Amino acid sequence: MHELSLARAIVSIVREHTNCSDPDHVVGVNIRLGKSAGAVAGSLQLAFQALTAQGPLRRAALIIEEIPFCVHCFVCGMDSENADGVRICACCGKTDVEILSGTELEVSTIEMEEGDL
Amino acid sequence: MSIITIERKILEKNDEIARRNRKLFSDRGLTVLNLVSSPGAGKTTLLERTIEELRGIVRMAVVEGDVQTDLDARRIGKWDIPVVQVVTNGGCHLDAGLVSDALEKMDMHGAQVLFVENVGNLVCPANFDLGEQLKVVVASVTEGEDKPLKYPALFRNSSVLVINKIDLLPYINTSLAELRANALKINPHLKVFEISCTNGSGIREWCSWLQGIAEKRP
Repeated sequence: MHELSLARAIVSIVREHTNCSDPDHVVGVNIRLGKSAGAVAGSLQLAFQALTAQGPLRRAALIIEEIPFCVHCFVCGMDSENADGVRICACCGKTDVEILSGTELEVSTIEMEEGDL
Repeated sequence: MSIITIERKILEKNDEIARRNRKLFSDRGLTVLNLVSSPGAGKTTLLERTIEELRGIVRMAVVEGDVQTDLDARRIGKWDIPVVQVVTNGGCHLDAGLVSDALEKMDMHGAQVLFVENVGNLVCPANFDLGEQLKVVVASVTEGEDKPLKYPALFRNSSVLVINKIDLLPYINTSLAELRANALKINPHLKVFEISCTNGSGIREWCSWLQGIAEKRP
């Protein structure tokens, strides 16, 4: 359950960015989660909710954009998605590939409500 | 509604401490291996066999990570080498900060190789850089040949695969060739050792390689 550690890190980043404003105004936290990043979206949601339910971020929803695991093949030149997170070209089956996406663990944006609550 | 652009890595704080650890290791000429596996794959036994083989040749130190107890540190402590036990109290992985704290408690006596034995877990340690040079995944044949496919992140992020307990192959249905092939599908750059800590098969090759990388560093 390292999703709890990840959720703590997300909360810490959001708090740093809302130091000068009111964290009560945060309504959304957008993150990018690679499908082969080794974290479960549902568990991350649960951990985030548990950490924020009572505090100033209680109105914040965690919005997870799941990024597919994609590779570029140096043999056939194609980009392809591999749902199993295996470093194999889905087009020609060769392993001489580089990972294009699918390992992301990033906070992209925060959505803030403006004005008095 | 306003949108604030953040674009920060979730684990940036861990990664920053890991960078500091890496610099410290580099300054000390220390080769650091992060040993990861499922519980019971044989990480501690592999360390014991390695220490037996290389003591007096390579100066070694160990950080032991476990959810509970100092049993592993006591096992390693028999050899009179620096060892620190990190108890995570429920935490499912080591992070860079825990390793940094452990280093402060340790007199490494000019060690050349530091082994960090992570908490037994094939999922969570994959995300946490500790500052090591090499991540070594230990897979035992009794776990079956499909583990690399089921837990790809850890195998993808590792540089070395040690397949342990090969002495048990005659008694189980696991195909060593398939286990190896599955791991190389996930990560074709893995350096693979096939060993048995029980009968010593493959231990010399593993230790020779370790000695080689330890001696390459200043």
